[in-house]
Amino acid sequence: MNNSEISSQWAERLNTPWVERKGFSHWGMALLWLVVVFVTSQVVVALVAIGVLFVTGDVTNAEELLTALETRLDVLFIGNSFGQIFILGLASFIVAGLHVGQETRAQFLRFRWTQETPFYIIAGAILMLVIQPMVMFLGYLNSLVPAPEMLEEMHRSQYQMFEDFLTSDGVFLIGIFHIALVPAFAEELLFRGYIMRAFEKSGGIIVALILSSLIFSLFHLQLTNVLPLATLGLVMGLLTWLSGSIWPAAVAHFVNNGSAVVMATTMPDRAFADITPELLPPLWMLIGSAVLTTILVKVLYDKSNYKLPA
Amino acid sequence: MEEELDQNASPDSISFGDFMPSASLVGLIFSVVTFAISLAMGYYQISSEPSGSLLSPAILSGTVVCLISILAGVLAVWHFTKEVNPYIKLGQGAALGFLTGAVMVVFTAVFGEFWNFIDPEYTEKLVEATIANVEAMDLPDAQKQPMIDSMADSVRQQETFLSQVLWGIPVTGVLNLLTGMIGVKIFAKKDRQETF
Repeated sequence: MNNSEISSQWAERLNTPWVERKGFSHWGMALLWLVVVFVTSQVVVALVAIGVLFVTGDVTNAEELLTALETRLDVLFIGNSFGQIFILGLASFIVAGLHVGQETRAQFLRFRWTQETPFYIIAGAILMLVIQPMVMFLGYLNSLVPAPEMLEEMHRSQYQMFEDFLTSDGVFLIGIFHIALVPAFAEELLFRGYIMRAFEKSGGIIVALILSSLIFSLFHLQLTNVLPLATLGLVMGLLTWLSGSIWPAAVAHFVNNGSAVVMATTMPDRAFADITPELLPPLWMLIGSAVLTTILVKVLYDKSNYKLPA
Repeated sequence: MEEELDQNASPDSISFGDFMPSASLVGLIFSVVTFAISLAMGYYQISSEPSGSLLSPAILSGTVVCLISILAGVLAVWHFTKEVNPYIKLGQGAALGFLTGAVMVVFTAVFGEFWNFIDPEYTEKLVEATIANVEAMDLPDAQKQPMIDSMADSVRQQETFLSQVLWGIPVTGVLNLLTGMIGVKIFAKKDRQETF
C-alpha cells in the first residue's frame, strides 16, 4: 500500500462518522443515548437537589431530606434545570459528535441562522398559538383512553407539583426560566437537534419526524398526554426540518411552555382543571384552529427548500 | 475452522440474521439458568419460616439473577466470534447483546407461563411468603403496610407475561448491550482495515 492510498483511506475514515465506523446504526445510538439521558438526568436532579438542601443548611439529616424532597419544589426545579442544561443539552451536544463525518456538530444539530430564520421563528410562534385549541381537544381525546391507574396517578402528581409551584407567590419569572426557557433550548437540542437528525440519517425525514415526536411525548412520562405532546413534537419537528434551523422550534417551544406558565399563574383554576367537554373550546374555534394550522404548515412547506420525497 | 472463518470474515458482511444463532443459544441457556435459580429461591422462601430479614431469598435471587443475566451479552459475543465472525464491531456487539437480553427475557417469560400450568398457586404462595416476611420485620406498623402492598404488587407484576416482557426487554436488553460491547473489546479481532 503506497502513501497516497494510505492517506486516502485515512481521509475516508475521518469523513465517516464514528457510529458508522464502529458498526452502530444512527438510530440505535440515538436510542441508547436516550436511555443514558433518562437515567443520568434523574440522578443529576436528585444530586443537585440534595446538594442545594445540604449546602443551604435547610436539612441536616436523612429524615428531613426525604420530607424536603417531596415538598421543596423550588429545589427540585433547580435540579431539573441542571439536568436539562448539562445532560439533555450539553452532553447531547458532545455526543452528537459521534454522528458527524464531514459536517460539524453545529451543522448536524441545525444550529443555523439564515435570512429566512426570523420568518420561520415568527411563523412558528404564531403556529404554536393557533394550534392550542386543537391541542386541548387532543388532550381531551387522550383522556378518554383508559390508562393504568399507576400512570394516571403519576400524571396527577406531576400536575399537582406544577400547580403547587406555579400558584405560590412571586414565581412567574422563575417559572418562565425553569419551565419555558430551559426546556425550550435543552429539549429542542436533544429531540429536534440530535434524535430527529440521527433518525433522519437512518430512515429518512418522515420516519424521523414521526418517531422523534413519539419519543418526545413518551419521554415526558405522561401517557395520559401522549397525543397532544406528540402533535406539538411533530409541529416543532416540521419547523426544524422546513427551516433547516433549530431556532424556530426552540422559540415555538418557549411560546408554548411560556403561555402555559402565564395561564397557570393568572388562571390556575382553568389551567389545572381536568379537561371536560364543557371546558373544550367551541366547535368553530376547533375548526378554525385546524384550518389555520394546515394553512400555516402549507405556507411553511411551500416556502421551504426541503421537500418530501416523491 | 477458526482460520477458515478468519480468512473469509469481514465485519461489513455481518447481517442481523447472523446474530440469531448466538443470541438464541446463549439467551436460551441463560433463561433456563436464571429461571431455575429464581424458582428454587422462590420455593425456598415459600417453604421456610419468615426471617424478617430484608435480604429474603426472593430478593437475593433477584440480585443473583441480575448479575448472571448481564454475562449473557459477553458470552453471546464470544460465541459469535468463535462460530460466525471474529471481526465483530462495537455497535454490532451492542446489537447482539441487546438481542440476547431480549431473547432471554422472552424465554424466561414463556417458562413462567408454563410454570403457571404446573403450579398455578406459585405466585400467590410467593406473595404470601413475602408478606409474612415483611410482617416479621422489626418495623413500625405504619411503615409495614405500604411496604407489604408495594412488595406484593411487585411480585404479582413480575409474574405476568406482559410486564416481564415490557420491563424486562429494555432493562435486560440495555444491560446486555453494554456487556456485549465489553465482549467485543475482549474477544473480537481488530478489523484488518484498522491496523494501519
